[in-house]
Amino acid sequence: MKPIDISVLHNAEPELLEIAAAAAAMLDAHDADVVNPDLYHLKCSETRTALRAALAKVRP
Amino acid sequence: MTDERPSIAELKRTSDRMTPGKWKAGQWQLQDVAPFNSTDIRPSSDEDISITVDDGKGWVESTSVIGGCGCCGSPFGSAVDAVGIAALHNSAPVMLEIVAAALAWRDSVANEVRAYTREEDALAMALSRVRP
Repeated sequence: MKPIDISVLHNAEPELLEIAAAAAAMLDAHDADVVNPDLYHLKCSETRTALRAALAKVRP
Repeated sequence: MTDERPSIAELKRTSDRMTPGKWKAGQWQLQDVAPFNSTDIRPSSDEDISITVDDGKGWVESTSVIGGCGCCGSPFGSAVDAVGIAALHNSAPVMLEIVAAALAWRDSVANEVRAYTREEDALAMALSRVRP
């Protein structure tokens, strides 16, 4: 059995976790009840921007 | 200038090459490399080696347990590292699926509403496989 180099996964862990957290926040914001439309859209916009920023840290 | 950001496709290939199934942390020793209790048990090359592990139920042959060496502990990492690496390995396929779904969602925004909704549903499905 040859050693498996999992360092690439280990090194990318912070980015992967950040993306997963940002994606969850974005969907939570979209699924929230619309009590205040302005606040709802602001939260959706903020979380979408955060997810895009997190995704910019990786390549496809 | 090279792009040093992690490549999701490369990470996926690495994850796919890893031993399938659940990994767990434990102690192990290298058979046929050095006798038990030896202080020098590093394999000299990438030659085939047999690994046995103590998973709490006794020493069993396995390739899916990572952790400190049962002889001296230090050369192959700490128990804390082993727990973290095992958890990372086990979650890697789901993490990469989430990231791939998020990338598809991002790239669908500029196209059409139907695709955007479909990719958002796929992202929600991927995220449903993890807890916050």
